[in-house]
Order: sequence, then C-alpha cells, then structure tokens
Amino acid sequence: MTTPPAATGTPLLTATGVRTAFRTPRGPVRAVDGVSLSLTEGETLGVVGESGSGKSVLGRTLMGLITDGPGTTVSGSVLLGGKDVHRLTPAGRRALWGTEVAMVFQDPMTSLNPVKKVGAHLSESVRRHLGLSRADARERAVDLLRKVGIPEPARRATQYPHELSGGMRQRVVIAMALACGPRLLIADEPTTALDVTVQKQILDLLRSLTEDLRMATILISHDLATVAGRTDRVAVMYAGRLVEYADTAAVFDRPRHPYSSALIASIPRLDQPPHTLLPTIEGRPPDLLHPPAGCRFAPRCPAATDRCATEAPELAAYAGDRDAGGVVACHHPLGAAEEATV
Amino acid sequence: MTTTHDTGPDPRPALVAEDLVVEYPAGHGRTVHAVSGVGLEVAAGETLGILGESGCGKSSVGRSLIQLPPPGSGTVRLGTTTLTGLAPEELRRARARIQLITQDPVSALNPRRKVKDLVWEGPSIWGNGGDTRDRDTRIDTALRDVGLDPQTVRDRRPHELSGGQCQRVCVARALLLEPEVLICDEPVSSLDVSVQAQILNLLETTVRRRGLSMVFIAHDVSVVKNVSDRVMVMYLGKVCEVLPSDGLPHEAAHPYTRLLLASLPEVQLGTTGPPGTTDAPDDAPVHTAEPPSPLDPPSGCRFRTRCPLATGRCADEEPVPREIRPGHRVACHHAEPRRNRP
Ligand SMILES: Nc1ncnc2c1ncn2[C@@H]1O[C@H](COP(=O)(O)OP(=O)(O)O)[C@@H](O)[C@H]1O
Ligand code: SF4
Ligand code: SF4
Ligand SMILES: [Mg+2]
Repeated sequence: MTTPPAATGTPLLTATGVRTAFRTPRGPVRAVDGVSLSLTEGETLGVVGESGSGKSVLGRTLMGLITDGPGTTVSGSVLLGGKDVHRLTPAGRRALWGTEVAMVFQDPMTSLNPVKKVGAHLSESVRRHLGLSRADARERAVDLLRKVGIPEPARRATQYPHELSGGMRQRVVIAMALACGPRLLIADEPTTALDVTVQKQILDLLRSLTEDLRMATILISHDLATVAGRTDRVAVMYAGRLVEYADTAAVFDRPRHPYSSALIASIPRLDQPPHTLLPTIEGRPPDLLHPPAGCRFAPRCPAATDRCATEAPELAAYAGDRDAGGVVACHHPLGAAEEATV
Repeated sequence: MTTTHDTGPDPRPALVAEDLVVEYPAGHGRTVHAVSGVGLEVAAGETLGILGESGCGKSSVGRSLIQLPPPGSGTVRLGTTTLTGLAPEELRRARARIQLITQDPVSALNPRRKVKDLVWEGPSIWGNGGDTRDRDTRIDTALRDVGLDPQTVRDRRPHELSGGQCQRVCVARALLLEPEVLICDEPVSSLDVSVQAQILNLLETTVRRRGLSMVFIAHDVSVVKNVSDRVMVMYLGKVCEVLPSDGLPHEAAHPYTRLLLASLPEVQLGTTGPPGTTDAPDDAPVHTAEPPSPLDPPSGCRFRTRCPLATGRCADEEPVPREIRPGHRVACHHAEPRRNRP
C-alpha cells in the first residue's frame, strides 16, 4: 500500500485500504475498493468523481455510518482521534459523531425537523453533548447561527426551517454540524442543490470555518469546478478507487491521470469561444459487479496498453520530483515521458 | 410594463415573443410574478441562451413559448404563425414545429415503452409521420443521428439506459418531427460533466447541420456561453441584459450578470494560473443577500436589494433596457459599457 501524499502536521484522519462492498443477489458491488487518505488540521480535501464512483459511500464509511454487517463488508482502517472507527462498539461510534466528526448532506431538509424551531435543533445537541443549561444552550445556539453568517440570529432561532431559504437552511445544518466542535467535517455535495451565487457563499463559509476552527474538511462533489478553488488537495475517484491524489493546483494545472485530465477538459470554460466542441470521454464507467481486471479506466483510456488490461496500477509518486507529494494510479501517467527526457 | 426586445441578425426571425407575462396563484389571494414583460427574438439558425438562477422565470418563459401553458398575456410568433390565441387543432399542428427538451430525460420518457416507440411518439401523436412503411428506417436514422446504435437500443426501455442515453432519445424524438425551433430547458443539468460535454456537442452539431433555431435555458454561465450566439440574462421575472455570448465574461455590464460571474469557480473562468488566482471581475458586487420573493418583487429595479450600485432612482423607476453597443442591451440606470476583451 502506498502512503498518501505527505501532509504536514499530525493527521486528524488516517484511512488505510478502505473497502466497502454491498452484498447483492448478483454478487458483491465493490463501491469503495482500497482507498487511503489522510487529513491534517486546517486542511480541506476535495473528493471528486462522477455519479456512482463511490464518493458518498466513502464519506459514509469514513464517518462510520456504513459499517461491516449483514448486507455490507467493510475492511481497512479509519483512524479518527486515535481510534479506529470500525473497531468501536456502536455506542463508541456514536460518541464520535458531533464531537470528532460531523457530516453535512446535499439536501438540508434531510437533517432538519420541519416542526422544530431552528434554535432548538442547535440547543438540544449542545445540551446533550456539552451538558449546558437551557439558557446557556440557547445563547450558544444564537452564537452558532451568527458564526455561520445568518443575519439576525436571535430572530432566526425562533423560526421554523420552512421559513428560511435553501442557502440559509444549509447554513443552519452547518451550524448543527459544528455545534459540538468536531475536528473533521464531511460535506457531501453541500451546495449541489443551491444557486451559483449562494453556492459561493456556502463554500467560502466552509473554507473559513475550517481554517478558523482548526478543523479539517472533506468536500465531496461531482462538480470539479466547485472543488477547484476551495480545497488544498484533491482526490479523484473512478469506479471505487482513487486515481489521482495531489495538491489541487497540481491536479488542475497538470493532471497526471488520463481520467482526471479528460474530466477537466470536458468542462466548458468562459475563455473558450462560443460553439467550441468539448473533448469527451467515450463509453461508460464499468459495472462494479464485474470491474475490469487491470486498470478500471482501460476500456475508455486513449493511452491504454496491454499491460493496462491485466495489471491494476497502484497509487505511486510521479516520476521526477516536480510535483512532489502527488500520487497517481496509472502505468503511463501524462507528462512522464517528456520529463524523463529533460 | 416594459418589454425587453432585442433584434437578431435575420430580418424574419424564426421565433418572436413580445411582452410575455406569466403569473401563478399562490393562495391567500397572492400572486407569483414569475415573468413580467419579457420579449425575445431568435433568428433562423440562431441559438439564444437564457441564463438565470432558480425562480427567475426562465422555465416559465420556455413553457410559454411552446404554449404549455400559454402565457397570461403577450404574444408568441413561430415564423408567420401567431401561436398565442390559436385554435386548439391548429395549435396542435403548429407544436410539431417547436419542440421541447427538458432537464430530466428519464421522467420525460414513458418507462413502459421501448425506445423505438418513444422516438415515434411525435408522428403517432401529431399524425404527420407520413408513410409508416418507412417507420423503422426513420427511427433507426433518428437514433443514429443522436449517436445511438439502433441495434442495441431499439428494443430497450428507459431504465435500461443511462441518463445521457435517455437525453439522446429525447433529442431523437424531438428531431424526428423536423422542428424549426428547439427549446431546451436545463438539458444537461442532471448529467455528469463528461456526459454533459457529449450532449452539448450533440446539440451543437445537430443545430448546425439542420440550421435549427434554439432557445437554450440554463443556470450555468459557461454552458450557456458554449452553445449560444446571444445570451439573455434574467432576474426575478425580468430581462437584465442581452449580449453576444462572446462578450462573456468581460463585456457583461449589468450588476447582476457581474455577480453571477464573480460567483463562478476559477476553472470555469478558464484561468491558467493555480486556483485562487482568478480572472473574476474585480469590481463585482460583494453580495450578502439572497433573492427576494417573486410574490412581492421590489419596486423599481428588481435587483436593487442586492445591488451595490443602487441609488434612490432604482427604487422609484424601473430601468428601461438601452443599447450600450450594437446588439448589447442592458436594463440598468447606472451600468456603463465595459472594456473589450483583453
Ligand atoms: N405551477 C406553478 N405553480 C406555482 N408557482 C410556480 C409554478 N411553476 C413555477 N412557479 C414559480 O414561478 C417562479 C418561476 O419559476 P420557473 O419559471 O420554474 O423558474 P426557473 O426555471 O428559472 O427556476 C418561481 O417562483 C416558481 O416557484
Ligand atoms: S493505467 Fe493504462 S489504462 Fe489505466 S489510465 Fe493509465 S494508461 Fe490508461
Ligand atoms: S438599475 Fe439600479 S439597482 Fe438595478 S441593477 Fe442598475 S444600478 Fe443596480
Ligand atoms: Mg427551471
């Protein structure tokens, strides 16, 4: 197993060889198949990939929401605050939620109770976890709403979720996630349902909270553009595996994996003239019941060789040291040949 | 009520709409002012993009154009035929000439029918399929034209296809009627980026080859620029700005358009440097507020509650669209023409 790119400082989260498979009548669906990553304080990691690539299953496995059980096989280790999430009792795991790790989902209404006031969502969890008095909890709730940029927090606390806009609801959900001071926040498509102008506000908020509160954040998104300016590092997922994992700037400027490169090239850009034909990726991602034996991208990869069809590439450092710290899972990474001749 | 009305290059436009008003009852005697006096013109072979965030009324405009349902007031002309006020039988026949493609291809297709029957739905409804002996040939040609292999997909049902393939079936079904105008409402919003690129390319090449006119409605600035000749920006039921799409991003002059551009992630702006070094408009409004309700739109300029340039005049007087350079109209009291592209 290759180590993930060097991160400075003590890791908050270290995941090693994480595998999650769902048992189905047709056989195991290997949704996450050997993912290793780590995050340090203040860091934002973007996990990007197309729908079905395993991003959400990975997020839920890291959180311990998906565990080994009758319908699911989970292996590998997820170290969070010195404990392995998957070696804990259910009660031990629950104790981590909110205080060590918290999650924000795409649709804020899945996390909000429509008949409960905004303030109550927050004060109840701080009372339970931090043992505050009713009055202190109410004050803390208003503080949290202020911290996530909700105007008139005292008044908003007395309103019901449906009285708020989508963007404001997502702020409330973020405040709930932060209520007990978690060290790691996992945000799964937190802005996908929101308008562009509101998206920007929420992403900026997550970014500044991560830095100010010295947390770490995993930002899961199908939208590469979302992740581009808001993360320190990016992990690109394809068919359950990480194919490239490096500094965000390196991935966007000089993608090494043919899949990352093709994905970035297929986004329309404002500096292209109108009617520019976009580069596309032929074919479809593999069926996770029967993934190809070698590289999972081989059937769609313009650079594939015979070796690619039989031998699965492991994540490894780039040849040469110009992008030190990045890893790519490819037998023929882009730019490798030209660097060898320099 | 002001009509924003722009002039396309062709003296005999393929589609004209004047002073469209769409209102929905909202209970308690209240009214949603979804579209308040919108006009547009699309020349033969031209693509007009309509850009705006959710609730701005862009879908309501699209539906008014095909008379499903007809606008509350205003007129729509398709070639020389005035669609508004047409008798039901004549309208039914005229509808074959203007076809709609929607955001959710899967639900746009009857799940119980096979692809070949779905593609033939138009002729079977409109009864203008001509000689049905060439039915199978025409279906196969239509499928091939949208990049599907007839052998493989002809007898499949929608759930056996991917989202991208379903959207291709929708396009094939629309094209089989040989329409003059295609209305596309967020046709790629539910698709992954790599599939989005395929569908955008398909629409682009189809429209070119057949000389079709298209109205392309979307919330994504880069996507709209990619397919359109001209772009119309809407906010809260009104047109803010109409400009040639190659004027994006640098020539956009309306404060709302500039806010949209400032909210874009850097990769879409197409900066070459690392994320963070953005080419975003530097004097774009810093916004804190979210859009007001279309139940009770602000007086004067509807954008004034979020606009950094707003003055007293903006509250009292609705801005009349004015031409700031040929083909570029802005509805704003204070917007100035901006520098040309660097
Ligand atoms: N059938 C309807 N009944 C009531 N309100 C509607 C209906 N359709 C749309 N609206 C409202 O009209 C406004 C404009 O809607 P729409 O045209 O769908 O905007 P967009 O496509 O830009 O998201 C919104 O406030 C929306 O909630
Ligand atoms: S290992 Fe081979 S098939 Fe896979 S991405 Fe690299 S070149 Fe392509
Ligand atoms: S008219 Fe006034 S409020 Fe409206 S966009 Fe222009 S400056 Fe802003
Ligand atoms: Mg819409």
